[in-house]
Amino acid sequence: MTTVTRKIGIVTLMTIVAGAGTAVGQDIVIVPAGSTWTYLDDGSNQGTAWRAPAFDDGDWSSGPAQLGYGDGDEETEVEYGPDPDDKFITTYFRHAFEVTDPPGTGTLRLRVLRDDGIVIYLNGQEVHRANLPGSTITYLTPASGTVSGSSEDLFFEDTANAALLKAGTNVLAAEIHQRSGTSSDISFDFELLLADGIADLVRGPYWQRVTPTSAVVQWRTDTFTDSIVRYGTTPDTLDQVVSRPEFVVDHAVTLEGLTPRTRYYYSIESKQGVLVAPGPEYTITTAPPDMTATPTRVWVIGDSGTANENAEAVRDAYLEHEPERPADMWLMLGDNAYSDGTDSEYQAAVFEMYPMLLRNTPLWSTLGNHDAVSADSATESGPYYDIFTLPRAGEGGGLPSGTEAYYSFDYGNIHFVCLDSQESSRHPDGAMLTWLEEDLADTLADWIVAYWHHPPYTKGTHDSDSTSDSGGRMRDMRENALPILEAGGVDLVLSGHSHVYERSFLIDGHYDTSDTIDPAMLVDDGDGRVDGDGVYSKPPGAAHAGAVYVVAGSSGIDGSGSLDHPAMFIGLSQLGSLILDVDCRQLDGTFLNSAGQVRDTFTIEKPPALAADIDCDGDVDFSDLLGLVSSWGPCPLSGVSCAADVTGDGTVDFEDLLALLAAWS
Amino acid sequence: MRYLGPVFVSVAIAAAVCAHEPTPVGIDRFDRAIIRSPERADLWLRRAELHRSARNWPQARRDFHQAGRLDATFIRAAQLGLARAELEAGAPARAAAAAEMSLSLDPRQPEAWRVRGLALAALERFDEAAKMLGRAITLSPDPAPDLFLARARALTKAGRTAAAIASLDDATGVFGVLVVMEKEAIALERERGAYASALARVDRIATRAKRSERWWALRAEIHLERGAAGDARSAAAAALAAIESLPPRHQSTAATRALADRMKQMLATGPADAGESS
Repeated sequence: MTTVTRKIGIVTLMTIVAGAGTAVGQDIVIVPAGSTWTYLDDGSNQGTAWRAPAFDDGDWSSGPAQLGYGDGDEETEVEYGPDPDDKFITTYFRHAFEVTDPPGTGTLRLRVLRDDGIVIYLNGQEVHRANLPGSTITYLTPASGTVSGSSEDLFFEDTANAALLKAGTNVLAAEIHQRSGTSSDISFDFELLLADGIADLVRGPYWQRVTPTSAVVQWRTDTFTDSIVRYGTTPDTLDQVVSRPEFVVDHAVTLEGLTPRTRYYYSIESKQGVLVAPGPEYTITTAPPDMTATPTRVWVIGDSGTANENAEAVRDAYLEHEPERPADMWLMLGDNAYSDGTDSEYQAAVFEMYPMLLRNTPLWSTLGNHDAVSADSATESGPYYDIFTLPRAGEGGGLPSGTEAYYSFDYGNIHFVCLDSQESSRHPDGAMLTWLEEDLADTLADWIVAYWHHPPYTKGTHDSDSTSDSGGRMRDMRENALPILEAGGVDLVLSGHSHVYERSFLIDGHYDTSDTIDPAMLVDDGDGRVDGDGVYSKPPGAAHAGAVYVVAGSSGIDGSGSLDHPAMFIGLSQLGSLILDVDCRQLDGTFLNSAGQVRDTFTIEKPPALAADIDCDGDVDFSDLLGLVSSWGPCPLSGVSCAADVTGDGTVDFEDLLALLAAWS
Repeated sequence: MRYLGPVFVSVAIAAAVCAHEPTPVGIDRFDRAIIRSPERADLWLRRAELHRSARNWPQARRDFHQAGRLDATFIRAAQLGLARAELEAGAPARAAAAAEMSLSLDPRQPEAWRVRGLALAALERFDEAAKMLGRAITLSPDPAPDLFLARARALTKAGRTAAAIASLDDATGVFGVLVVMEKEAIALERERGAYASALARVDRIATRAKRSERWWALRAEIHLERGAAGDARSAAAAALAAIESLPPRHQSTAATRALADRMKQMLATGPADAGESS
């Protein structure tokens, strides 16, 4: 029996050990490798009782680790039964040890040498499982795979909550499962350590579901700790605090009762100390009040998850483009982490790629096909759903969808709609598209921006005309989602998947293959540019008044294609990202390539009902007068009207003032 | 030594691995891996899933079967994948059979129950389908709205309207009020003449809506349907008032104008004092 006595608390952890406990650096070895274990190797069915600390294993054999057979490196050789071609599947092990002063908090390191499958229990609670099904197992359940070669000598790492340790006798129980009755060997050894307990930040912080009055901040630590967020409106006055006592590694704290459109400084802490100190980079700004027109910048990236120099170049080009005007929010159009959307791929492609943005820019995402390799919308499980906290109950101002797979939210006067083109039903009578119709009917926003992964129109690295390409998802979204969106007054649709940049004319009613496009579907067949054919103009709130469709799937990888879809004004085989600037009457899109060059621009304009309603709040009042005075003089673009130019002659002057006063309400 | 933990270790490995360019679909990645290690069932299973996602049905079927053949412990997952593929390919009988086989190996798989339920619904075995979908809901830690909707529709087609409505209300218990569920329930309540329940549901949505005009309009339609013209007119008037309270840009849309016209028409017809509600 091992005895570990801790002399001081978890916070310092510099003293430690009495009895057999030793420190490795600052970790404390509680159960060393090579310890003596009792074991039962008779092929019997022990059910579950043997896992309990109180179980009587007095008639079991015992011996030091490594235990097993078949490799020749065992300290203790166990039996596999009378038939070498039908070896026992399960062998049981137990080890008791004393702890006089349990930490109550912190992280246990589990180091496991196992061949083939294993489950380990600490004081009756499962703390580790490997190479076995996740469901209920029995003594006849074989391991899911073999362990061979150098893996037979490896100690695999895992962690567990140190709060499982109790004062007095603690018991480890382990069951090793053979791959099959004919498999040649099994091995088992184990080491248990108490990690130094001082947490390091390994992910984040990052901001989710930021609304006018609430926000969720998330981060990951390398050990189990509590969660404390301090925040306030100046870096020196973090006078508000939210804390959660649960010890976790993946932290998510919701701040509530915030003031709309307000910048908050914050720190991230645990009881052990500060993980993130307040500073100019660590701020979050809440969304504007509902339906309030506010200049808003959105950074949009698609298929960015390569974690390589391409993604870096796109990121850096954006950061160097108008650094004085950072984005208010940020959209990811799916395939955020190649190739399978695993947690480790997300770590490389998102958390280590954009740390400076994550800490102060609210991030929203849609599911891509690569994200879906390891995530499942039906159960909202997998890394994608673990990492993102998205609205499902209307927390962001949209209609509750009941799922994070598709959702909507408001940012000022913009209504954002996220659909799941990968996994949720795309049938017109399905829950998603039924919800979509109702969601659009319920919004009062001036602008509607929809986004999902599979583009309805593309001739890039994918072909939206092909019914077999991407499982017909592009066709499904075009045929089933677009009629609802256009009837609901959508202005802009963003997608990725095709690793190019494509941007449409202002179009409406095109739901079939590209060869069926009719000139009448091009509501405006110009370039949509202020300094070109003119901006796209549509009346506010109108159905079927035209929308612009953008494929922005080249933020991590670029490809090619014919790029000749007739709905598209432009197609580019270039790495880059999209920047949206939205105000009350105008939406500007800018495609910025990875070299920092602007390669496309477009503008959609919605003249307000009252020309003198400069701030688009529905009336003409003092705030409009202020807006006019502050814009006095020629409009920025020579000869082109601007918001305060009520008369539309390219200059803000006395004529505009008189018009404004005449319209005063 | 500061312990960085398994997360850090895996991140470092992932960073190295991710230096390559991803393929658009990823199937060729597994083509190469299978050539190198044709005995690995996990590779066949993963390629099968990619083929399923790409709707390459013959290839998906081949790979799922091969995964199960290579390693019996993969049969459960392979049969589930096959069941999903068959369902998506429009072969519900084969889907149901594959799901059943997967469930025989592990009955605690909500996804397998879901697929089996949807397959049976496609085979018009609605009662059984509803039961299967119910098992999926019970077993799933986080059931999706589609699951409740599918069960309700199976029950409706089985002629069990009350049970269908109860299924939709189960969803409300899980998600809170969802318009998708309530609208489905309202239609069923109207079909069975349970107008008071239908109206209560409309109210439940309307109190949560930003725009109440269409819910007032729906109230008016339901009142009209139950012969309460007076209540219908009151609701129509309320709908018009709600429209007038909208910002001008929303009042002027074609859909809103059409709704207003319908409500005005309702106000202009029928006796004002007929069929008042209690």
